[in-house]
Amino acid sequence: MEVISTDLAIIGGGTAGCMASYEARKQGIDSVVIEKAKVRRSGCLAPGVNAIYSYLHDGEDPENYYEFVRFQGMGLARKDLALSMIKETPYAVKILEDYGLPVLYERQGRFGMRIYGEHIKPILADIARESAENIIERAYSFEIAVNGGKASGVYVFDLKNEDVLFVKAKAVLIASGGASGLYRNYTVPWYPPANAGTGYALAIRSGAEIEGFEFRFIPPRIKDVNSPIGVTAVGFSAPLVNSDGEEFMKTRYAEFGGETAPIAIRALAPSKEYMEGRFPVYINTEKITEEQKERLIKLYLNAWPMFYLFIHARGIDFAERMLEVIPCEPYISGSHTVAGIWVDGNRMTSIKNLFAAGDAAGGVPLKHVGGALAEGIIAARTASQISGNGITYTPEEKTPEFGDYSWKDAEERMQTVLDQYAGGISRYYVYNEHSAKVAVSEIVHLQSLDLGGRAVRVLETYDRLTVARVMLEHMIERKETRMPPFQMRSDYPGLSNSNYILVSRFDGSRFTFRRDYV
Amino acid sequence: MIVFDYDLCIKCEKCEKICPCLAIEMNEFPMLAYPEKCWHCCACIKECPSDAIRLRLPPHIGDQRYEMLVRDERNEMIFRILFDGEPVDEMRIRVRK
Ligand SMILES: Cc1cc2nc3c(=O)[nH]c(=O)nc-3n(C[C@H](O)[C@H](O)[C@H](O)COP(=O)(O)OP(=O)(O)OC[C@H]3O[C@@H](n4cnc5c(N)ncnc54)[C@H](O)[C@@H]3O)c2cc1C
Ligand code: SF4
Ligand code: SF4
Repeated sequence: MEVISTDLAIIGGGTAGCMASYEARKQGIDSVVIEKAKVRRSGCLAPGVNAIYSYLHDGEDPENYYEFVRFQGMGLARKDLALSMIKETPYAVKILEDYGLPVLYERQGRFGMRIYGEHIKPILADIARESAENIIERAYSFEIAVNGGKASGVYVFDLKNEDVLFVKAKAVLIASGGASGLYRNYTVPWYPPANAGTGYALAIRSGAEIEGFEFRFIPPRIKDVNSPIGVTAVGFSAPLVNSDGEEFMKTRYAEFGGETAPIAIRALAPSKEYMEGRFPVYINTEKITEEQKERLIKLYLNAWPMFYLFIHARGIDFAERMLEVIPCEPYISGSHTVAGIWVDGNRMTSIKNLFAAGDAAGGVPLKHVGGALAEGIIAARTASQISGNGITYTPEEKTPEFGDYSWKDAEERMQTVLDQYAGGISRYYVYNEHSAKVAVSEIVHLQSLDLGGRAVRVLETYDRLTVARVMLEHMIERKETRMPPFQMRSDYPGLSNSNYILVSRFDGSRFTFRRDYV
Repeated sequence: MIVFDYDLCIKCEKCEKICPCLAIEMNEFPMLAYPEKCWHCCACIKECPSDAIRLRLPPHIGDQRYEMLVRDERNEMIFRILFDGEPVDEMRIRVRK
């Protein structure tokens, strides 16, 4: 088995991972990036992005950002993490600008910075190529080596030649994004299917703590294309209307903040309109001028190009035929909820020298690109402080086992089970104790199968099952409805305002929970 | 979903290598081996040096006669909408300073 030694092993060459390699080099340590696809276009930023959210504008107080995310998280947000993160965002964006990213210095919403971001990922890849000692592409991280309570490296499956290699490191950073593809989707997925929750699964299997997994992320999206709506809703102040022409956010959800209610409520409201028969639901674009229309389409070309094809093929003219809105299937992602691997202020997990950043890490309910960049920086900085020379760990010979039960069949069953018993789109996101327990037993059964097929697909399926299991345990443990529809129970229907984040640990056989009060 | 034009394809394998979701595989020609893993992100289309890949909406979403082609011109990206193979609209965006 080939062994590569470095100071910092970075799992995932995405937003947080590329930025971490930059900061590692700046702090004088070596890093190796392990990426399952190709860094030039991988992860959430592959199609581009038109605004960096979670950006601290000149003169804006970090405390205001914390108040903003706390509101968005309906009271649940970790202050230490939010403050340390937001402070790093101007520094991160400046680096991207130096490498060629066109930054417009215009606000999009309160903490958004408009950019021409179609090329943000190729630019991040340039940064990583200049910074990392080595970038291993088409390589799937499948196990973290923990020795004497400390992370000592990563086992990697090389998808090109189906070999295992070991990256030995003083510190390991999980930057592999969130989990897509757990639930059945009704159309093209919103979150990248490549982000299969691997980082969560690696952390769980290593015995690291996980937080907030009961809060799934269910974004309201443009129906059918699953495009983000923020740019239209926030950028052009377009309200939501139902089939009666009622601006229901204003009439029915005023107590939560109307059109600018927390994201969960902006998903709950349209799903209620559907359930109660007042659909289709639209985002009212009638007032958008011709000039603004061109601007809007260009913003989409920077971020979700399929939108351009969609409006042509469907003959959508903003003035006459508005865009339909519907919440999509649930995801687990630290980008928009507190779900993720538990980290301390230095972005170290509960396992020494194991770090997490970006969508993989929990605790801040609105993190986005700004937060992922910032957390990559903070983690690399802490990793550079680790003293000691070399690691004594001797890697074992390891090869993932492949059987002959089709990964595809297992995946289909998992997605159906979660959809139907664990609050998927077909159940309007509701679950109860009994239904979640049915889902657990089905997932446990799927975990016992020996999956086979293309290696990357098998490894992804195992990772998704691990994530699904922990998500369900969290959903069962929180005996209340705390954030509909992200976490919404029919057996405890009243809206609670409890002030804890649920933290779990899996020791290989059982789950233990603690509560972090915020 | 994406559609290939094998008359234009030069088998350079760039689409297979760039796909963030590892959805494309090369046999003699590239193919979308895992359609359900396709994110519709257009990375392959932007990367193809010979305009051999186009984006089409999945049939449940819309009219199959419309397609999109994207060309990477280094500092600019050109997006073109085709109807029955003929260009009907075009937009350009700046991508680098
Ligand atoms: C469609 C969409 C639109 C968005 N719009 C905006 C917006 O307008 N503004 C904004 O600020 N934020 C936006 N976000 C959120 C933002 O893009 C993400 O929060 C952020 O980019 C996440 O960064 P990350 O580093 O955690 O993950 P990513 O950038 O996704 O990186 C994860 C990387 O890990 C790799 N990986 C996964 N598994 C493995 C493995 N097993 N081994 C090796 N590598 C692996 C992946 O290939 C990927 O490269 C959007 C997200 C999406 C999906
Ligand atoms: S559109 Fe994106 S996800 Fe689909 S095949 Fe092309 S590169 Fe892969
Ligand atoms: S990138 Fe284009 S030319 Fe190259 S193999 Fe793919 S389809 Fe063919």
